[in-house]
Amino acid sequence: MSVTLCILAILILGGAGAAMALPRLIHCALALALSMAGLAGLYLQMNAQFVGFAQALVYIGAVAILIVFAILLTGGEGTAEVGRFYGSWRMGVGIALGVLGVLGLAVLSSRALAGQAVPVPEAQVREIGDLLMTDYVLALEVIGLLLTAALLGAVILAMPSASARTGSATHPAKDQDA
Amino acid sequence: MSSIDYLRLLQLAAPETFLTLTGLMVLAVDLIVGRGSAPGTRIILSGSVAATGCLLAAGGLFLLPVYGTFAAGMLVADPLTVLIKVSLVILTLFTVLLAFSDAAPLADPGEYFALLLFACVGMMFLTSAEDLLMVFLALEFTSLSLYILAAFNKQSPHSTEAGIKYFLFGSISAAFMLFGLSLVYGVTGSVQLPEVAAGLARAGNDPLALVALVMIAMGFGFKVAAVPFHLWAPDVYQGAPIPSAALIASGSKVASFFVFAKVVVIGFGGAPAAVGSGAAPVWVILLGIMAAVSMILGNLAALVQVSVRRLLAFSAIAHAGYMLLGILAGTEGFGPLVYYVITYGLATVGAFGVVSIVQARTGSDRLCDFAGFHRRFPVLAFCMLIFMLSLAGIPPLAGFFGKFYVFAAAVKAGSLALFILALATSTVSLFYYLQVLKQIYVGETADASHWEPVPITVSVALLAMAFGVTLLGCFPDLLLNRITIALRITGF
Amino acid sequence: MAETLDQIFVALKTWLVSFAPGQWQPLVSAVISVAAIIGTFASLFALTTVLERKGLGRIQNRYGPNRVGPYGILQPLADGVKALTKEDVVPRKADRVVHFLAPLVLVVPVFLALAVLPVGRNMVAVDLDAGLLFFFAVGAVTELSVFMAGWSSRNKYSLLGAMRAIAQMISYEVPLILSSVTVVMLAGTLSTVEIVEQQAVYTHGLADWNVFTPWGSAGFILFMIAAAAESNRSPFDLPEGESELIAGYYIEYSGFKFALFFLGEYIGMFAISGLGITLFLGGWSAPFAFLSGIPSYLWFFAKLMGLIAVFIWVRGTLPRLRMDQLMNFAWKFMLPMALVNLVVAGLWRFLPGGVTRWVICSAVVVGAYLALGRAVSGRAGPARRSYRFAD
Repeated sequence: MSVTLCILAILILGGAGAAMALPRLIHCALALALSMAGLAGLYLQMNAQFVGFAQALVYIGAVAILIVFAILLTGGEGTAEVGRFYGSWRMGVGIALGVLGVLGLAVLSSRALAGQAVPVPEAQVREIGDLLMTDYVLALEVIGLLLTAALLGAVILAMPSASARTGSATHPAKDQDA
Repeated sequence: MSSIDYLRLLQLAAPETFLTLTGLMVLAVDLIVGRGSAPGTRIILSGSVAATGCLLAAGGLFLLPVYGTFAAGMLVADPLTVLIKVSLVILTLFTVLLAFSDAAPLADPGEYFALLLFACVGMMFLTSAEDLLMVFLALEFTSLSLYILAAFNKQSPHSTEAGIKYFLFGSISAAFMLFGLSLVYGVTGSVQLPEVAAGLARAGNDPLALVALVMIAMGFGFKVAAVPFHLWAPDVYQGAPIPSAALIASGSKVASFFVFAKVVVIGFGGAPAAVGSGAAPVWVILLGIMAAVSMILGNLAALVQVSVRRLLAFSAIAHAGYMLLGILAGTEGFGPLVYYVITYGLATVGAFGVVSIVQARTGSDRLCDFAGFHRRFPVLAFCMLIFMLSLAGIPPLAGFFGKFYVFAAAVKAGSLALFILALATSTVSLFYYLQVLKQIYVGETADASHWEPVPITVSVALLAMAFGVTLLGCFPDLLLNRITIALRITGF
Repeated sequence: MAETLDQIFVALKTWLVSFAPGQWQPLVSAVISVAAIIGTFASLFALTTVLERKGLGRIQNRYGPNRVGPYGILQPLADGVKALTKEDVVPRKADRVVHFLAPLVLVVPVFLALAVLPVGRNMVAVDLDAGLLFFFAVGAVTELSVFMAGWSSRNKYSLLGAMRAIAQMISYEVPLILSSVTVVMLAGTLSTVEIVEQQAVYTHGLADWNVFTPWGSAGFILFMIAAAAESNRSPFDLPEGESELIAGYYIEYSGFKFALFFLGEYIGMFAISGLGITLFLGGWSAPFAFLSGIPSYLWFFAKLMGLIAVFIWVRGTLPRLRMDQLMNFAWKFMLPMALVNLVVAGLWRFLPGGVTRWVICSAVVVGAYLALGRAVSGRAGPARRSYRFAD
């Protein structure tokens, strides 16, 4: 286990833990962004440049921003008074530890993963692009469709409903002066 | 750079492409022509475009099927998947026709119909995927469209509740499933089902493989609403707009069960021990428990329901239990399972259609609201009779043969205990289905107010579905033979 | 001789690295590169602040700073001393940790982004295979810092400024990336070094810069507009509009932290202009073959100063946009235009070379520009403007 891996692990786990435990929602979101940055670092450490940078671009640049935006727009940052831990948190911790135990045991006792040191592949961006355009072109297209559906859904859910729309039409639109 | 035949891909994915384009066209028509017209006109306008698209796609699939494989299992078009796709498109078509009813006034019909079509496209991709990556992507695409469809009616808190619950449960189960899939990839080094099977056979009783299989079973268990992953189902069936609920109950179930069975039979077939052999592998026990609990809980909970949509939800959970029997029967149960889910989907969409008529006129879907339905709409009441009896599994109807073949396959595969349980719970289920019919036919009501006539499209759709259920019941070979032939060609 | 002059900095670095013991050499090499980048661009920042103030002054018919040093050229030194000696005020209600971190989260990524820009032949800190993606990935972090600054200050102006800034940056990031994608499509690589090398060839004495093609010129203009919005420059300086929000998200910063924000903004502008040069203006290559004797780094910095001059000029002459105009422009003009440009780039790639290719591609670009322009402005053609309040 290298030093880099340890630092990244601390970053990821610490960020995730802080995201759960901090009292202010915005701090949680920032801690989550930190954890995502750690994840990007993990990819980079495994020589996956493309995935690492894409992770940073998408998760820190878009998802984290989206989360903080959502928190601010819904006025959710003032929820510090609500208890962080609900009554059943002990049970939750117990279940989480149980799952962790089972997973850890399975990973440690697995023969499939033991003993094979897989060489770290040096994937060039060009190869990834080629694959995305050949063998995985359908997957790429389906992701495009998925995002289209998500876009439609976001518009539908965010758009004021029909009655509200007609209500606002009575006010003169303010962008009429050219 | 390896060259690739994009034309071939387009040919194989032609129905999906066509439906996607139809979806976009619906959006465009609603935007360009429908803007400014009354909501009713917009629904008819965009709905008819969507319905025409479904009709053409189903016809094209049925008359001019193209067979082949793209990129080692990313997209497989064989007689079996084409058959499933035809039924999916027909179920979507009926759902679209149901949306013509004024049960829940749609604020944005264009987007609604487009999303219905997108959900259908997702299911079709799901059906023809033999690659775990593609399975997951298609599953997510379908789920995402369905989440939005469930939450579509923003005026209704129930619809929002349905959307949120569906989304939360769905995303968490998807996370587990993805984890499971990644473990499978880690253990076997491949995401293509045949290679996964070989890899799992090599791995033997590896604990990591078992964990992965359990997680994947969780993901699919959520999609098919099997206990204990069923908690979303009653609220979604009750709260979502009716066409959305109908599609979630029918099309989504058909596609999910098909791909679940495919993953289990092809992918895990080579897992620890073959199905039905002496030492049952872990996932057989797991699915067995899921099936048993689903049957018991679904049927018992349905007994006490007052809301017909909740009743249908619990009945769906019970049916998921029966269908799991088909999966447990392995290769033997594949054909019966396909027959079962298709006929079940047809009857469920029909039942939801009748509920939507009642709900539009009384404002709720309690059992007592169905009182006097027979006097008002005798023909539609007869349709409901057919749907309910088919769901209950009464002989001359399609539901009976579905259950019959699945149970028979289960007995052949040696799950005798589960078979007895299924038979017993099936009898119980008759009670609540008859409750609905009792209200319709002999229920007393003081309410003598006039009910608006049912839109012609909805009546035609309901009649067609009732006819289909009866036809497939009287002549099960019409569908079953096709399935058997398709299975033989595909090599099961 | 020209060759030596061109590679003098590379040779200097190799010479310095050779003093280090074997296993330390990569580290020393990295440190030297980083130091060079920080030194060069920080002094460029100092120079630019004074040039900007003087330029703006000229545009506005006044002198600008002219007291410190000859022609006021030492003004940045005075500014620096002022910033360092000022009291660092943190509002009592501010979120101290986030307030402290925000300027750092801004400055570190923008300097990181400079690492993949080839400022001269063989002069790049790291030649990453996915260099362009790296640039955008670290650029994305700055949005977070803007938010952190605006939110942690507990000031409604700063929060408003931050919200505006993020909305603007996210909106303009889409056309920014889409217009760079055209270059990636044609070059077939994400490596900035390779992109420049492909442009540094000459046909008939003229360099093959991307900007000399229909898709390239359209892409370059789109890129620079989006770049101005990304770096919050006028006319897209709503997030810090002095007349509305006082200073936007860094209103509650003073002293050195304010200087850091200032530095971050300028370095961000250099970085994104540098990327524009790399992608469209041939990086360090000379425009004409007979000029390639001039050292490559001089070309890069000359182009950079040229773009900065344009930025200053625009700032001095264009009024600030309104929020709705900003958004409409991004989503209804920039985005469709960038998408059309992608198609044009595809056409350019697959049509046989010659005059026909030029005509078709230019026609598509110009046609799309006219159609979209009319659709956005809502006018059938050029007409006399009417001003509601001024007439």
